[in-house]
Amino acid sequence: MSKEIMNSELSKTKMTEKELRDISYRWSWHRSLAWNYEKMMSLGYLSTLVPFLERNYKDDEEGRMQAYHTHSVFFNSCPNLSNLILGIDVAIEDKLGKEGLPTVAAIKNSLMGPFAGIGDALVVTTNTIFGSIAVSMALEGSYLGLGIWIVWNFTLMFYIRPLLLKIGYKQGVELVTTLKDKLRNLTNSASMLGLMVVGGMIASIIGVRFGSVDLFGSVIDLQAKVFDPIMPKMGAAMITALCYYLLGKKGMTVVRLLWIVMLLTLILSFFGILIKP
Amino acid sequence: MDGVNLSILQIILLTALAGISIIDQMTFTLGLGAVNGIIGVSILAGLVVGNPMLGLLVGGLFQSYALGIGMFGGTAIPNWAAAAIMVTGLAGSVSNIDATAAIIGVPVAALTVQLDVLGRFANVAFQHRGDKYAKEGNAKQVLISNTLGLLGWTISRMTPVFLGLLVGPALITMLYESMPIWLSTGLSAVSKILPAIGMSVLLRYLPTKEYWHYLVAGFVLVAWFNAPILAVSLIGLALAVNSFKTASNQTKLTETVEGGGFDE
Repeated sequence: MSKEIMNSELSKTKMTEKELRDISYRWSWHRSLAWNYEKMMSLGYLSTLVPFLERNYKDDEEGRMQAYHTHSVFFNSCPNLSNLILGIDVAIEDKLGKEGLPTVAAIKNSLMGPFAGIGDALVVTTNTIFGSIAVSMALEGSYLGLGIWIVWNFTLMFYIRPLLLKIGYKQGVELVTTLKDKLRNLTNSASMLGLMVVGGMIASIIGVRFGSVDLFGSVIDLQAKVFDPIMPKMGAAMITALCYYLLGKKGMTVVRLLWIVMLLTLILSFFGILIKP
Repeated sequence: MDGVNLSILQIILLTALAGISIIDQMTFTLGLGAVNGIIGVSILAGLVVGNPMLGLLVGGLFQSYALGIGMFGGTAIPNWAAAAIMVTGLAGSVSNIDATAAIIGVPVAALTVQLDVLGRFANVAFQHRGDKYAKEGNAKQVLISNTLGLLGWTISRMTPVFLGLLVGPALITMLYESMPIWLSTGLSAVSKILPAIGMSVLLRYLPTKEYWHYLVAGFVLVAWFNAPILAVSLIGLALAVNSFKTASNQTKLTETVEGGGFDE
């Protein structure tokens, strides 16, 4: 069956451009409305396809029931790259009807994991880059950085996600192999840029100021006499390194780390080791 | 610090913003999202209290806590957007931001994280409802079940904001007056240290061990040379594009060699 799907006949599309865009928009809205710990985005995926299924299996009640069943299973992936999966799925069901459903199930199952990995990494990296620019400008009273970020969000919503769905529809499963290397290269490059921005943000938005300690009668100004001579923003680098280390510990979560950092800072402030930045 | 007076209409609008914010995060993510749209939603909250600049500054502060943190696979994270809306509503003026954020914003965000978990559990019921109707092939009821999920999201985010805004003004004044100096100093210190958490989460997520030198370069540009973040990003972009091109060429080369053809 997979040979048949690889067949270039798939490029003779039945779906119009607008119908494909609509599926992408539907996915953006429905994907996580009923997100839950049991089946995650399952209901969102099915809801996205409801109008397509109703149309595609108009004269095939058995196929329609099978399709509803196929799309009621667990699904969770990256909100953006899922558009590729949706595109491939719609192309197969469009062409083969209910005969294609076992293939669709297998494709959803095998692609959602890798796409979640690559996609989430790209999403969190790009959001950190745009977010860092927006935050640093906002803290200086400028709306510009936020504006740039919002333009990016609209590009994702109205251009990139529909485009991914169309690519998935036109190129089918074949695409996954050719796309894999490109996506990996893209993720690596984005990571470099992301790390550079994170380095800059550590130095710019984390504020740590050390106070003075009384050591056997002589008062030592920690900030001016100990840390500043080593390097600027020493405190910010130290606290990030500590958090990074703690996050590597088993059972550590963001919320636990938040409480640890708060408690530690309060204790150090109590003894005057940390002061108001 | 004097407590602010919020009208009931303002409280309702701010509470609604908390709902809109989580909906945008779970759907279109156009810039008001509870994780990636905190600045935008705070500016709107600022407009509600008649001071958008206050919202911009509060939003910048709380967005800095959320940077680098995603909600992947349903990870529960502190409720920073709800806290930002509350602080914008309660701070009254720009000079009170740090104190309000430290006294009420950060604790509320951390304490209400369990509400998010609760909301995601509530959605299991709607999933079961949807499953039942999917078995019958009932399109309309499947869509209704999915849409009902909005309840869990919005109620879990709007409740803390609503209650916080109701009792907030009195609570803040009381806390502010009774708080020992070391504690308020400590909380201010905390509010400037918190971005370190998001940054380190991201460092765990990215291939830091492999590409640590880019981290160092970014740090140096800002710590020693005070470069703006936009400048750091653009230098980073140049390096990233360069590496992408090199890697793509290498992939092409391998393909050509493996294919046995040199006709390129």
